Amino acid sequence: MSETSTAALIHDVRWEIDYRVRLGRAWSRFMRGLRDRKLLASTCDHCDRTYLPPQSYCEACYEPITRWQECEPVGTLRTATIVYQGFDGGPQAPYAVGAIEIDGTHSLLMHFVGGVDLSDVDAARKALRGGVRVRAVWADERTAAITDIAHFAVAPAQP
Amino acid sequence: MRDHAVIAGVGFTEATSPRRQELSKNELCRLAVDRALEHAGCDRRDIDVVIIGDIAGFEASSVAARTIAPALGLPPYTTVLPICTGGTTGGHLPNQAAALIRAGFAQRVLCVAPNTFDGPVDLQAVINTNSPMVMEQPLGMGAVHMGAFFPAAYQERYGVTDADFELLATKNRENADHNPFAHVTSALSAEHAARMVSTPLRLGMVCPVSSGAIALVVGAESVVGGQAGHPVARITAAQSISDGYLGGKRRDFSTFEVVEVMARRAYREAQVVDPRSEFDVVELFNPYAPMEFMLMEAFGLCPYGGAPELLRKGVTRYGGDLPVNLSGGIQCTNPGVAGQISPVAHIATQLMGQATARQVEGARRGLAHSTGGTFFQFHTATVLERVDL
Amino acid sequence: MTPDLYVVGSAWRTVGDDTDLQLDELVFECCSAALRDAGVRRHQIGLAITSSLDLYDARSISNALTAPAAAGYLNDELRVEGDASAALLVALAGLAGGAVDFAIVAGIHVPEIGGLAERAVRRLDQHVSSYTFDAHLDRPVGMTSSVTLGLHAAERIDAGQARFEELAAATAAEITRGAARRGTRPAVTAAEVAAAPMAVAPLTELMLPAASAGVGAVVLAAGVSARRCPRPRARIAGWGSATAPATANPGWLADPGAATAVARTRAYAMAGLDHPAEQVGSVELTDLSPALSAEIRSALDLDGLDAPRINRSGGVRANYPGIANGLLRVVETLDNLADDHGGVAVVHAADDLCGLVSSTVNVLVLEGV
Ligand SMILES: [Zn+2]
Repeated sequence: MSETSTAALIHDVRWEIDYRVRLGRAWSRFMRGLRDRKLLASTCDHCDRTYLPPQSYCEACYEPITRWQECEPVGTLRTATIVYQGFDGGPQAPYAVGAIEIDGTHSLLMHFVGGVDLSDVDAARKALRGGVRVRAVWADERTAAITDIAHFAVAPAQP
Repeated sequence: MRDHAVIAGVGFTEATSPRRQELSKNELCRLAVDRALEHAGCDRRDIDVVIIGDIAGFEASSVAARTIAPALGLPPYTTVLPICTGGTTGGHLPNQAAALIRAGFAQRVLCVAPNTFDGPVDLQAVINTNSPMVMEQPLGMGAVHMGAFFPAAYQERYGVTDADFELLATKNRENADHNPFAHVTSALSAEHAARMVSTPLRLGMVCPVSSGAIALVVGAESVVGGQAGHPVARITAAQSISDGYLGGKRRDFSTFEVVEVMARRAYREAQVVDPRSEFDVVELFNPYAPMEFMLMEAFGLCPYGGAPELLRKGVTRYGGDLPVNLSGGIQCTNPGVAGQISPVAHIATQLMGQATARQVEGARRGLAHSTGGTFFQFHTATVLERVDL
Repeated sequence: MTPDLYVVGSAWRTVGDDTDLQLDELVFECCSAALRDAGVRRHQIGLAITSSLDLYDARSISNALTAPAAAGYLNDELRVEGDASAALLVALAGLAGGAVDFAIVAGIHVPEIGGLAERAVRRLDQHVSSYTFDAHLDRPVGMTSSVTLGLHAAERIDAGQARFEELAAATAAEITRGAARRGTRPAVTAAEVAAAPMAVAPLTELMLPAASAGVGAVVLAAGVSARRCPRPRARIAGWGSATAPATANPGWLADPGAATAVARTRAYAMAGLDHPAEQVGSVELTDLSPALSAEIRSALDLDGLDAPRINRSGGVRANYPGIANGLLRVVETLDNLADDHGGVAVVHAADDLCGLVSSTVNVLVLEGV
């Protein structure tokens, strides 16, 4: 008997389902805002926490949220990582992803951070430290998606 | 009848890579179950409930419990409970077994933690779908990148160096050298380990994709305790916690904030007053090595920012008075749901005096943790204590 | 000692195409309604259990999205991949074991496929069912949950134990009864059921469960905490659970009521039901095909129960919200108890992930408060 006849067989198994996902009240309004170059947040009626991305309920105090506001697309980088090894279907590495606290909010918005030379790891990490101020750069073509903001650019140092 | 829940039997299979795995998922689970039952001195016909974990989308079948359970040779009509909470699935298994036993629903529960990662052709591509769809997934955030946010913020806040992280990763690989069920050991080449993946994570700090299964027999203390023929591990606290959905809810990436909340609950439940001195052995879920520092701090084992110093002083090494991840941790072996249950499994064997890795002499109380979900939204904690019967 | 556990509040929402809510927004709406019904605030909840499946929700680890919406934020949380009745059982264990005083259970079945018409929902559910069957033996030969129902009905008709006309008549009566409650199908005649498109022979489309989308929630509490609630709905006097055999075991076809009988024995013993047909005021069944009804009824030892006490809501052929079905059966039972001004009611729930194969059955005995 040949050796291969007792080796474990492998079957190819594939899943294929097409979905159409409903974004609901809060995110639909948020994404349409992005298309119009507006950054919209929602504020809990009950505890005054401001969420960005916005939500239609507050999971903390468990009350509905009805108050909305437009935010200046400016915030503070809380942390960032520079991706040198990306993944299939993802953006071309290297790229930087940041957690950004938009001024006046109580949550973090995740987004690309641009305007920094990523070829030198140490210099780039220094430039993308927590506390750095960033501002949204809008995409030219906007489709009501999170990528309607092309990235957040590191603001020039204040004098 | 209500009673304390104890882990009476633990069954491991040898870890390897999915590519080298010869056994099917059902065969591996069966092997782990056979070993756990034998270890517990328990007949499979006496099992009341089997809890099986999976992570949908990582495996050839949705709800893997449906295809695994029939392969285990359990009595007809044994209740099968399938659980999936992402990366904490494995941690939930013993906790839920404890809940069923404490409630008097069951006397002997089998927990099966399968090798989750053997299926996908490109596992990383599947794991990467875990970041929140629509909002955060389009931003190039895969699993490693989510994992990198935390140590990046931690380093910045506490001035921890890349060298501290590398020292930690080396410590864990040396621990894995003594664990026959570990996958990656200090045989890993230094050059490979040093490659940057996503700042500040290097390859040597990131877990491998492993194949292996783990099973536990959890039972009512008065029923299974005397049958095992060795000390058993009583579950004295079983907790979990959920944070908000989006990564942005974490607020402060320099610490695992919600773990502090969960730890307070677990310590209250297990009557732990001073965790630093009351735990003899600790296993913390560390698919990215630096998490170990951050988790030690959130669990109150040292002050915030103080974990690297404990490592440098040898406190968390074998022979220190608070050894952490003597198994090598998830950084060295990550077979999915089996990886998630492994902290509990390793602690249980330590308390039984039958450690899989190097034994901590006289270990009486241990802490096990698991985490997962997008940006580590979910965590579980299990406190275990040795019971001599 | 039997633990003293109660349902203290509930909410049900059948979801249609007109919803503008995202999945988590639907869950929040339903769970808040259940908490309001219970007179309980989120911070009193110690345990949040959801029942859902990633493949319906179009998201990996979909409970990440729904747990905070189901009062799980900073809470002990768990997701069960089975019928919502299994999630309920886990929550009861948490209460009975003394870990928490209040728990919430949410059942979520809102497939993310754009439209929620019955046929579209069934198509996805069957697609997912095929992915739940074994990938190497069953899936390649077309096994789905409906196929197991067709196999069973065909066998019973061939053996002379069921007649197509009777199945059609029973189905029409249920659908028509349900149309006056939470049913998603309009009233029909037996002839219309018989003439409906054949789905899995001999079962026509209308004989299959009425696939729908919905979210349900119940709030559970223990002892005095429950009795101090403004409107405790029912005491959970007994429960039992068992899982049916797998594909290769002939038992699922020969005796599909067997797991029900095992679960029933335990539930009735706990509740002290010794003459169930005389003691039970109503029963809500998950008899997935009309050819199963008699076998499930017998397995529950309810052969002698008057017809008007069985599936008063119309049952699964009036409204079948997939994995959330167990909670709908509980909610319908709470209504039955209210209509009867108390008494004892039985809930029978089983998951349909692989139809009759390896289905986990839960039996609950509820007492009106
Ligand atoms: Zn609020």
